[in-house]
Amino acid sequence: MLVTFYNSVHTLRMDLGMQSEYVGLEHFREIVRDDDVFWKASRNSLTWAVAAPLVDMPLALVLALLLYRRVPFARFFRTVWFTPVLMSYPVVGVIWLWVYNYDWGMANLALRAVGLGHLAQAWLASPATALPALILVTTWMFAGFNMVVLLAAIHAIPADYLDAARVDGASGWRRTWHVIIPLIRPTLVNLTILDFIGKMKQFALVWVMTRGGPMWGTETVATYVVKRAFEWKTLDLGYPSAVAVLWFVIIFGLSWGLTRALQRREALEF
Amino acid sequence: MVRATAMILTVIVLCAAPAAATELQWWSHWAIEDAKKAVLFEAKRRFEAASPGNTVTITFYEKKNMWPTLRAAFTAGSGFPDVFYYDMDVPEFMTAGWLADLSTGVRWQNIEPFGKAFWTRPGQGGKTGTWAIPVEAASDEIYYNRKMFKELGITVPATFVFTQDQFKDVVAKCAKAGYAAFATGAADREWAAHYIPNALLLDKLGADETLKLFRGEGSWKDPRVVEVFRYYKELIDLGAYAKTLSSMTLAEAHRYFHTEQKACMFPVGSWYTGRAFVPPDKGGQPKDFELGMLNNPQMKDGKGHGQKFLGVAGSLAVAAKSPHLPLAVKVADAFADVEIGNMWMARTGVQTGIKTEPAKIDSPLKWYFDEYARVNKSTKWVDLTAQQVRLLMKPGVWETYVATVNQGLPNKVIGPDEALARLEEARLKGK
Repeated sequence: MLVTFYNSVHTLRMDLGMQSEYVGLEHFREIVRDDDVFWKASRNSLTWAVAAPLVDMPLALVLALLLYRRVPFARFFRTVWFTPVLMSYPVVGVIWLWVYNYDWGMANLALRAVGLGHLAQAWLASPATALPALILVTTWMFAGFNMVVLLAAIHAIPADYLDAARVDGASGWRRTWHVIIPLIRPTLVNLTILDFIGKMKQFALVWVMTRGGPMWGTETVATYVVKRAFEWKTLDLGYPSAVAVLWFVIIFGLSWGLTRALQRREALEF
Repeated sequence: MVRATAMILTVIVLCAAPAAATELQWWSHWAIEDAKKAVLFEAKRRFEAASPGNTVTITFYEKKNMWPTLRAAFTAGSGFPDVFYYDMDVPEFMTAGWLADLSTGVRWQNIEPFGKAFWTRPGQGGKTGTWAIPVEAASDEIYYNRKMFKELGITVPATFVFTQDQFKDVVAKCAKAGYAAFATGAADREWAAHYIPNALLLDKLGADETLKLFRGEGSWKDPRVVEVFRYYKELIDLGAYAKTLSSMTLAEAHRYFHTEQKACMFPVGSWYTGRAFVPPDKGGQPKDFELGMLNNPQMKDGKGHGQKFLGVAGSLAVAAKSPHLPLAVKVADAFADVEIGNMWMARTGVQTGIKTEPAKIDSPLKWYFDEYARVNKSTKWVDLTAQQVRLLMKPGVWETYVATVNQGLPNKVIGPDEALARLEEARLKGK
């Protein structure tokens, strides 16, 4: 990490036999003023980091509540929903590349099967659909993990609380809304923050599925850093290190702010 | 006396002992190309026969995974192989000083002069060296499915050249019949959809101005460039590319063309044969597949009629810091052999930078060599290929070229004017 900070204020002079030259904040100035791709990648990363928890957490909560209420085949569903998180990103990426294949992918086959063939499309070929398509993949991957953690939190609620609510005549919906959710709030908050940070750093899935394309439509800051570091064929880690440092500061700041905001609200309630 | 005798005997035994056996590591691409692998193993066999006790272990990688692994190993200073596949995807390896200078120790008299010249470049600190053995050479070609053309009533001119209007007609006929015009898969190659626009630019501008454009010395707003891009967009709008373009890999594109036969043409490097001329159960083209070749379409008032791109492709390099450098150079030198050149041509059908003796090449692919010679009889070669355009472009321009020409345009995400505006903006930034 210290080397990254060091590199961020240096540049590599290949013409001087791979000598490092101090350039101060030059890289940072260039990123902020001139680098459209960085800003596009930032927008994509931020969109992902905000959108994913908004989808992941309610879905995970619903799944956890279904299992808590012992729906039929609960053990089977718990295993099925949790399995994706055990797979690595490259494996998941390849599976979903097949799912999104225009000709024979499951997504388009399903649409054609229900008479919605006109909606079939190359999901990863347009910036309009590529990012949502990737967000869906991470939701599929992590909803199960979040579900298991939330289920554990729900099971940890003392039975007396729920029994008391039942005796007071609270319906299942009211028990969920007024007892369960408030009591698992700390878990929800922590999972949301972890989800947010994880998506801000998203790299492997994008690398396997789209490499940031089309037209930077799925470029994340992490993929951009790797491209600038290794695909620009310069061996100069100065500029990409500056991007990494800047993004580290942004993630740190946003995570800190989010934690403070959510915790403060929690403190007001309790 | 006894002591002295014992010492002498020890020295004699030590001197007589064979040199310690060395196991050299060779990393190669071409994992799924059996014809090329056969030649690699023959070179390995020859080296091992000539250097008793020393062995070579070949490890196969997919190319796109091999580069980051090599880069990390060289940067760390350990874990890199002695010999490895090399091409112009990673030119920075030369300037970083990671490649051994092969100017000496290799039988260059067995290498074509153009091949040696290609790899003779400035390395670290500007010091010129010769950095690789040019095993494979390739031209940018447009292959077509003869049966499909017949079925669609398309007649190829005797010169193998369509005019731009005729070519548009060909694309339209393919699309109308439900085929893609081009079997291009851009999922794992950032230059896969560059072949046609590159060919059109070359024909319109001619070699000098095309190279200037790629180097950033010419404007993307040049009216002739605009004309080429707008014409290209017309082809795209007619249905030139499959909707699977962005999710189809290069390997899948081969099958799409010759096995599934869902596209009329396949613009690709002439290394096509390395994958296609193997048994069908190994991914090769079906026995009854009728392969044809075209020359680049002719643009109106073009300055580059009859020109085509040709360049050195897959090569062999030696790690500068190999602990077994002299032996590693000998492994590379095993390729600098006319018999290996002949075998390469006979087995793969791909051109090579190694000298060959055509009369001695006994190959079932002779029909292909004849076809290639017939189509390219009057071709004026331009030293570049679709994969090497990045060498001329600044990194930022190349990234934009990939985003616009390999992704945005063929997927109909943007139009030609937007693509050119972005390219011009990137050029003016000078990064």
